[in-house]
Amino acid sequence: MLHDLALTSPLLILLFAALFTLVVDPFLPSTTEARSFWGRFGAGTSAMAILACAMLWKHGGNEMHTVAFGYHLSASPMSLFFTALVAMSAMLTHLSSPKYLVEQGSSYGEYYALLHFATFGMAVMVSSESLLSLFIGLEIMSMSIYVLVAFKRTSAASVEAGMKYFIMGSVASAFLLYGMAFLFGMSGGTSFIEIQRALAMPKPGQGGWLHLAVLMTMAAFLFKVAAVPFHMWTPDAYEGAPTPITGFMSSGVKVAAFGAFLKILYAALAGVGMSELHLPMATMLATFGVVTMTVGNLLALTQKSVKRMLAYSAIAHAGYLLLGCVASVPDGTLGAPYAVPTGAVPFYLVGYAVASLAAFAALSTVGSGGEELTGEAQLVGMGRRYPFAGAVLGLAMISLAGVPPTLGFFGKLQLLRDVLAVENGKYLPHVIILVLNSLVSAYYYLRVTVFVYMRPEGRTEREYVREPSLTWAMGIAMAALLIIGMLPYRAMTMAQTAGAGVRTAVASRHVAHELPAKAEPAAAAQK
Amino acid sequence: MTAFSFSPSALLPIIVLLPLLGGILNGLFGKRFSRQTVYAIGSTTVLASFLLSVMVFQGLRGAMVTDPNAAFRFEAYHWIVAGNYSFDFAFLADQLSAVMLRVVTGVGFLVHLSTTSYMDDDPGIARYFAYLNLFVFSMLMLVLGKNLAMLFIGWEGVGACSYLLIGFWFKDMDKAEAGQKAFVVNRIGDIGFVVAIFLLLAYAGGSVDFDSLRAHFSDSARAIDHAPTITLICLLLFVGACGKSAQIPLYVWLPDAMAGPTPVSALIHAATMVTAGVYMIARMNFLFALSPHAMTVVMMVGALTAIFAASIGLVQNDIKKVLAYSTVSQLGFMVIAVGAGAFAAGIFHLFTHAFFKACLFLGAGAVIHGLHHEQDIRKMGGLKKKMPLVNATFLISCIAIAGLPPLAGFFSKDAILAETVALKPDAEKLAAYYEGGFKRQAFAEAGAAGGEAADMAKVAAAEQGIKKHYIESVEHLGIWRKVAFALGLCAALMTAFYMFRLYFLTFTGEYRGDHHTWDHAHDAPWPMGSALAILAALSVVGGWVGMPFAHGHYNFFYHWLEPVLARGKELVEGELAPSVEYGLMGLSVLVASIGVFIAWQLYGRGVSEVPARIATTFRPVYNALLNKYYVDEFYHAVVITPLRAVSRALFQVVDRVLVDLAMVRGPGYALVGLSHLGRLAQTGEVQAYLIGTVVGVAALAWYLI
Repeated sequence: MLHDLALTSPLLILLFAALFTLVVDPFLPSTTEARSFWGRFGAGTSAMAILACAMLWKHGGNEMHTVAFGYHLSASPMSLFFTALVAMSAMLTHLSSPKYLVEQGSSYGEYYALLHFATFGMAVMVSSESLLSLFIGLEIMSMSIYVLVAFKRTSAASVEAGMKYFIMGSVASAFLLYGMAFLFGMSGGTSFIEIQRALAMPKPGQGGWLHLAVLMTMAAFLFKVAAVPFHMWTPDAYEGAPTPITGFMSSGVKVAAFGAFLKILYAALAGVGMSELHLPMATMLATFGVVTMTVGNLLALTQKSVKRMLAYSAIAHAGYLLLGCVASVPDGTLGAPYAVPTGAVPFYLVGYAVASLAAFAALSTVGSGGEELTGEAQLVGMGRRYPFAGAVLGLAMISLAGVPPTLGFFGKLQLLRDVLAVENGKYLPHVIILVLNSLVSAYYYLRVTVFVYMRPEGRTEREYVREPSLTWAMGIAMAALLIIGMLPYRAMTMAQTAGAGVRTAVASRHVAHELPAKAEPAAAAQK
Repeated sequence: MTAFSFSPSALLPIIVLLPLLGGILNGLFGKRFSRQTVYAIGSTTVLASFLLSVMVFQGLRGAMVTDPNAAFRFEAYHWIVAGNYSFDFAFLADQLSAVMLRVVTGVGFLVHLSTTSYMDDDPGIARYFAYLNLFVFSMLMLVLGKNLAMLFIGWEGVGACSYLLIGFWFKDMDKAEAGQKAFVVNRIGDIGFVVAIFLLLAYAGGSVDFDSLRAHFSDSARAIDHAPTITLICLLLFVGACGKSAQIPLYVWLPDAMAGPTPVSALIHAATMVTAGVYMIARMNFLFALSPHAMTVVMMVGALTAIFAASIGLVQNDIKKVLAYSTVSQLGFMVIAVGAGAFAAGIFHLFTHAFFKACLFLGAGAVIHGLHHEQDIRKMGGLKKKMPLVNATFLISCIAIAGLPPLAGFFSKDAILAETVALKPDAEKLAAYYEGGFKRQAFAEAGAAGGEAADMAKVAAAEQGIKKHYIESVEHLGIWRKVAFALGLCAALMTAFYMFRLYFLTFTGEYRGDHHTWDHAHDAPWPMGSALAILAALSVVGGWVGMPFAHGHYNFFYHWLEPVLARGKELVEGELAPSVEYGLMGLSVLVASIGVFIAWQLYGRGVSEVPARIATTFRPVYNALLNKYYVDEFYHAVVITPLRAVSRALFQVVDRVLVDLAMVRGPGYALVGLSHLGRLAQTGEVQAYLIGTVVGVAALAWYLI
């Protein structure tokens, strides 16, 4: 029990922070100071969660004990890496929120509690070792985010966005639950390792059900990562949500969704590729990736609102990441029982998350007193009036476009390289399309910097929100973009380890001990 | 022995970073500092680096007692690891770097010091010191880099700083253009260098680390045993060296670079940066030694440059231009040395040249400063009386550069000339190295001739033939050494002449300028004076560390460089009999004396009509020399003008129509149009969104079922 608690300590810290905020907030005066306290508190607890992840990474017990709570949660390199990443997203969101909420007139303590709950849900998702915990984590996250999107309750756009997101999200949850039900029915277990073993030796007549299960699960995840054509909720939800929450959605939610997706692909469904069914999962992912990035980039081209543009850019990046999901080692066959993802997706997520957070933090400095100014034209003069925020926004754009020496460049580089390595360049056409896509994306990313720096300022002098914790958020993000961008090697190696940790070796060893009774009849039935 | 309780390796990053720190401080906050603070920051950071360099040098001496091949390495981090390729951010201080380290920081400090008196009325002093410190930083990166990538960072860094400093007074269009010329000409060389680095990456195991390259090219089993490939790489590297070290045909930028402040010319365009090419070739000696053909090209380019630049120097009237052409000529000598396989002699000349040429430039700076920015030697003369200290140091340096014993230049120049004729590549060893390549070629030839599987006897015969051909071709190269020697000797004669012409015209005789200037002329102030004195002293004694064996002394300098240059020395061998060596020595002394004597005859004995008469008699030759053989005009007509015409045409046709319209705007408009179409689907209604989901599920189902 103690081991279980120690292994899940990052999660527990986040959960504790959520409950503490919820319980204590009513007793604090509803002043600006109290709100900024919650912002700092949230950042502190998130930082503690990151620290816990780091310590577990470094001293992470012996291998036998990395699975906690009866194969429902784990503390593998994978889960720690992703947990730290979502906690980092939460930390920067906490830092950039307080002043924004005050300005928008919806500063309530519940916001910070919900943010914690959402982060907790994400951490559970990426640490899950079973369908049950995955689904619970997903729902905790989703419910919190629905509310957060609609948090500016006096703004019709915000409430509409929350509602749309909720409706679409429910459909996705239904898909996921349906798919999980089939998986459970076929394998008789909920843990990934049981499912994997069962699927590796399917019983006769299971094929159709397996197809259905994979279809449902895939649909749900493609929805969560906002792949085309499941993407249509994204622009509305992103634009309506409070700006820091938009940042959180494009970083934390994306990280958690891809973390869980990798788990499903490489841990739960790992046996599928080996079976006689030969599901073309890899080709499917790559195709969806290519379509998603192309549509995302195309639609981003003509957006006038930077927030909405970034929503489409989030879709485009989801496309890149989907293509990155097919890159695996050792032999590059997604679905082979021993394949693990390369570090491409985790490392790319780091760069993408940090750059999005930086961009949205910088965007939330524009305008004061309830109005939200995220149109391109409203950024004019930012580079001169608030040079720091302008520089952060510009750098974030450059990183998103994938230009060195920022982190985004190395993320894209490694992703391209790993995808190319799959089966001797099988995905070369996809990679070419990706490169052309990033060419297109450079246009709309750099257009933002044009507005920030190069357009003459009109008569209106814009006010900018300046606040220490927001400055910290931007500073941390900028430093991360530049420092990891210039010295990427260490982070790349860590991402590689994270990818390799998708299936805890322990779990397979344990289950191999405990499950022969279940597995052997299946094998016998095959013969 | 030294009393280090820690490894000097840890000092390497500090040595490099100190000048960077100074540069950043002066560059960012210099405007708020007082003049004295700027001086102090700029000079002390370089002085500290110098002291640390001495510690590293002594530490290396200590370490060599136990391990003769000792070197200090500091690996900061893996910079990029990509597949089989890896670049580290790492420093290497071996014997060669240690020498360079001391020259760069030592001369660098003296130049910083004397700048404080040369630039005492310039408002941009903080910017100047920031650039100068950045230059020292880049130069240290260059000499301490542990791999070619690091070296290249420094290489580009010094190029950029050189550009900034030449164009320091950028409001003067000519000076700004001189900076641009230097930069562009250097870029031409850099292309060769970069391609060579890529080739090495491709052929030598994915690393351009010097240690691993040396290991790679010392082992014939792992080698690229294809001689033309190695020759190609060497030549490309040499193209880079030509740019940086101002060799024909890329030397044209260096004389123009004199537009910068004179101390800059002393540091960058005489003592340090321009020697980077020579340093790089010496560093890559294990590679160059494998290709006698490329070496011969290097040597001949050096010899031609030496005599070409020296001949231009004969008639120039600008004090700095004379020194500039002398620098080009002396660099030619260094390149002769490394091309002849006398790597140690080349570095030795680099070492001594740094002292006397820096001293000459700083002396010229003192003269120019003393005469209110007068640079024409026809308007000087008799300055001996006004500037005794400058006169003394200038004279010492002139003797040194002319190559009269026992000053520094004599030993190094003599070593180069002697070794040029003495050495010869070991064709047998080289043939053994390339054996694998010969075998493959033999198989190919015999197979092609036979049409089917070749029998072994035929192959063996073919191989023998190829080998014999190779050895003969290497031995035929010997004649060029004699040519280079003769050219070098002529250049030495000219050097002695034009240096003393410069000295006599400037310091002796009657003053030929206006009285106002003469009355205000003054000797160098103490910071510059002390720098001059130190450099002059080094010009006297600097050569003694490398006295040749024939003197019965222990040649410390050659022995010191042995670990770095061992491989090069192994492949290029040769000894001179002491009698021949003494003979050559006598010849060089004689030649130098003749040069000095002619200069004294023409210019040293008061006003003489002879030079003018010679000029009128050989009018075409004189004009050609005075106008630098019209090389700039030639480049302008043959390279620049056609290039401009072509690029204008390309701009009008290819860029405007093909690229802008057909490739950029066209697809751009098309994409934007598509984007507008796509936006139609985004109606804002949830029902429409759910339809999208249905489409997605259908697509999935189509894939899976």
